[in-house]
Amino acid sequence: MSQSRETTSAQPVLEVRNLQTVFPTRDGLIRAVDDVSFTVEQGKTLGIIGESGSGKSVTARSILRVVDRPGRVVGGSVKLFGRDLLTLSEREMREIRGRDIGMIFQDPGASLNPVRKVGTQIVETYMTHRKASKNEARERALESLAIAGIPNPTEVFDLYPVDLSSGAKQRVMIAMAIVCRPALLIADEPTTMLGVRTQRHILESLLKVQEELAMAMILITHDFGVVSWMADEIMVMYGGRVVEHAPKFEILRRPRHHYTAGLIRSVPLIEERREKRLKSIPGFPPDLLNLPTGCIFHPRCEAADGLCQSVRPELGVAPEDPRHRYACHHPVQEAVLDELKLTG
Amino acid sequence: MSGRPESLASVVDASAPASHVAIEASSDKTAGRKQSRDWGLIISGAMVAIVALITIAGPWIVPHDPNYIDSRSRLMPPVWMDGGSWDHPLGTDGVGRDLLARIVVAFRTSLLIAIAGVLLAVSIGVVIGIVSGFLGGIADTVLMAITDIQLSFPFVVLAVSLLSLTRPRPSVLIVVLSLAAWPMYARVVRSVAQQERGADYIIAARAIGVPQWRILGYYVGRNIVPPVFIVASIDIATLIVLESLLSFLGLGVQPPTASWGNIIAESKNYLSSSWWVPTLPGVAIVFTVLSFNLLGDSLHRYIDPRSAR
Amino acid sequence: MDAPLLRVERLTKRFPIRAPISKRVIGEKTVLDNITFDLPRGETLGIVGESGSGKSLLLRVILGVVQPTEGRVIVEGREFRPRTEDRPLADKRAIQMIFQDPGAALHPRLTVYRTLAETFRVHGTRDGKTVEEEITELLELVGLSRRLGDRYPHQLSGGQRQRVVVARALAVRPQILLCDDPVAALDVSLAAQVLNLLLDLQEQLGLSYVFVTNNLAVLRQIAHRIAVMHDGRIVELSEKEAIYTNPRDEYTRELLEAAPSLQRSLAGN
Repeated sequence: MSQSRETTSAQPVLEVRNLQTVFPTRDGLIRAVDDVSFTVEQGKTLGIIGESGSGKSVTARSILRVVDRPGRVVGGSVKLFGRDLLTLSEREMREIRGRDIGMIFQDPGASLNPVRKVGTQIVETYMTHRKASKNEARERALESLAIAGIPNPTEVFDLYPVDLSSGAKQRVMIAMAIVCRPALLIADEPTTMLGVRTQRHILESLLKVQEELAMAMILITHDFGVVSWMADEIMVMYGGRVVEHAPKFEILRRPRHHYTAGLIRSVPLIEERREKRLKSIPGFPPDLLNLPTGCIFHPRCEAADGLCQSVRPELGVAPEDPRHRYACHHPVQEAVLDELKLTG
Repeated sequence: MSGRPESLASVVDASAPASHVAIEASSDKTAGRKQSRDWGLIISGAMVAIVALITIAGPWIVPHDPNYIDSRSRLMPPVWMDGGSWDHPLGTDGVGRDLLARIVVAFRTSLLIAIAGVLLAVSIGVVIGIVSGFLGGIADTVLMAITDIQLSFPFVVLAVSLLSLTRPRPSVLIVVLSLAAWPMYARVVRSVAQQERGADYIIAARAIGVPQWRILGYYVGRNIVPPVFIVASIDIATLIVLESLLSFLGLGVQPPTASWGNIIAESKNYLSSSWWVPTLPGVAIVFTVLSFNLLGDSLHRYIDPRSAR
Repeated sequence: MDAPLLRVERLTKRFPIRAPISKRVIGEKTVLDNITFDLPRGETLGIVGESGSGKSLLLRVILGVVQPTEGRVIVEGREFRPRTEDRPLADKRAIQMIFQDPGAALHPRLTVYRTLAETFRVHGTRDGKTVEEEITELLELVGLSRRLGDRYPHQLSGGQRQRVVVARALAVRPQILLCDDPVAALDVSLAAQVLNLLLDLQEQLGLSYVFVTNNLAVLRQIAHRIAVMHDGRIVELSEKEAIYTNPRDEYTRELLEAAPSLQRSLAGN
């Protein structure tokens, strides 16, 4: 690991290129993830935001190679420190999961064994991946619980999942995900089921964990508030494709894709009431079996013209900022932030 | 029987509401079911169709009277063995009756008794389950206690004692078989009804003022049909086995009426010399039971609220 | 003498706590504690709280599908019976509800048309209209086409389902709509559509809402007054702006600070 830490400046932790995941169905092929590329660097967080069916969760599952059947990854590469995970055997992949890539899912209750002590479960995760004595594993488990924000690790170690609140369960999941000190942590809607205050605490812990362990992180969410707080970069997905990807401030201040701009405009704000009616995006998310031609957002887009209906826009780099990518023929010109009348 | 509770639980689960986050994955699941559903359903459907065809048309196309005793040709082997002839394609039994005719006629006996038993069990179980699950309270406690007592009673002991008290008649046999089956329907229906009771669409219907009887019959009833249907198709298989067992013990269908169970019972002494006589009705049992079990399993995968049309 | 449209008076709900085996009552848990508020016509009362605060249960008690231990529900100065089954049809028409998960709020085996037709079966149609005409009108009101009437809920998107749920609630032309976090389960773009729809309907039909949510940003958009609920009690109830600008209760402050905010993340850096 130490070697890879040194080389991070040259090499990203994760490099996904042209990822393609499909679900064959009777009614046709669903391209759940269509030509998705991105990189995540050490110590950085990539937020993936999108609505139901946008492919954000399938992207995460494709990286881990745990896509539900009948879906399968049919193209592209997923390189962890340059090593393509898609070419590994299932056995090698099992070692990667949990050791090099940690995972946290939405429902912590579903991922914990209800009849075993949480400490034991963390210890087992550690010992699956590392040669260690029971005592050493226990030390690591306690340490991880503490990093994950459990105030009394030795007590919680001996509890069963049922004894824990949903917030504490999610902390245990975090501890389990980081016990092997993975280089990358993937969190899929980690706080969606939690109350507002618990969500805050869990997200704060995640930030702390990431900083302490210098991990790369992928955070998947549908909540703009969460992603704007946590992420360094934001990638917006729609209908299985990346429509925009840029550093956080760039994308929030100057979204170029009309879908991104529409999403930002339609979020209710806590600081002030927006215009009397929220500017909502008209229409409904696309039918994945029957995607529109050209730009898949064109039926809901105010700027769409004949070009958008016929030609699929490439995900290109913005001329003024090489870190800003978007797929739009007629990018948004005005800054959306002005409309927010930021009071800060 | 042991596989049932688990499969039923998932039937019941299928009607549970999906949270919004499940929606993203739901298209995947639909896809999975669509892919795998057809072959199981087609094969088991075809098998059940064969069973139905034999049951309905069989007695008219077999060449012999199933009860005609031809004492000169006893224990004839089937046509594919030495000494067999096309006159008796599956051979004859110990007193010289045509085995094919007896097995084919027994389809009708066994199926009718099993189906009647299931229908009776469904009627009892659905009523008890709905009342118990939807109303709850004392009704639930009492009815479920009765159900548990019924479930914990060893069925064969109960059946043997009831059947030896009366002269074994098909009607009594049907009642006895339904006793074995109804508690399962009561439980399945109760668990569906319990979930329904708190469902948001039931709350909405109550708030509109839809009367209670209509909520039970129209709203809850609709969700009860699919799981009951699945259990029933598997139960037909179970009751066929039980009927054969009772007939084998001499407590079920009485000779000379042919039933797979009593054919086997009458011929069990020839197992070493003329093995086909007890074996061939056994094959009929296995085929029929398998076809209904497979049908139940495929229906289980196929029927899901989200795929309702 | 102008009575508020809806007055909720000292609503209290206690559940007995029973011993594990003997089922003997060994205590009581108060899940709704002395809830009192008024809702003027045409206004929205927002109720904010986390899960377990009792806010959803409160709506069910007002609707009459859960019985209160104590307290009264008064509409236009007249006390309503606690059980919806005991309320006359005219009273049932006054209060309707929409739900958080529109998937669970629609019968999975009934088409949209049949779901909506149930209302007219019970209450009849108005002005000599046919059921068909009523349903077409309702669907238009919530921005859906009549064609969707033949679909089953699973064939609709989340936003469409929620519109159907709203349509069903509006079929009896209620005065009060209880909203149980109706946008929490929807994607951002659809949530905004549904919020706007509710605002439009309030303007058009003069509806009053009790809008329960854990999202203070949503309430800023839709509420007139806000009640903060914690552990079955209302800890703070005031005009909307006061809640955001000058929260008096510690719990309210915590909720405000904890909410993830686009603007704060931007401003903080």
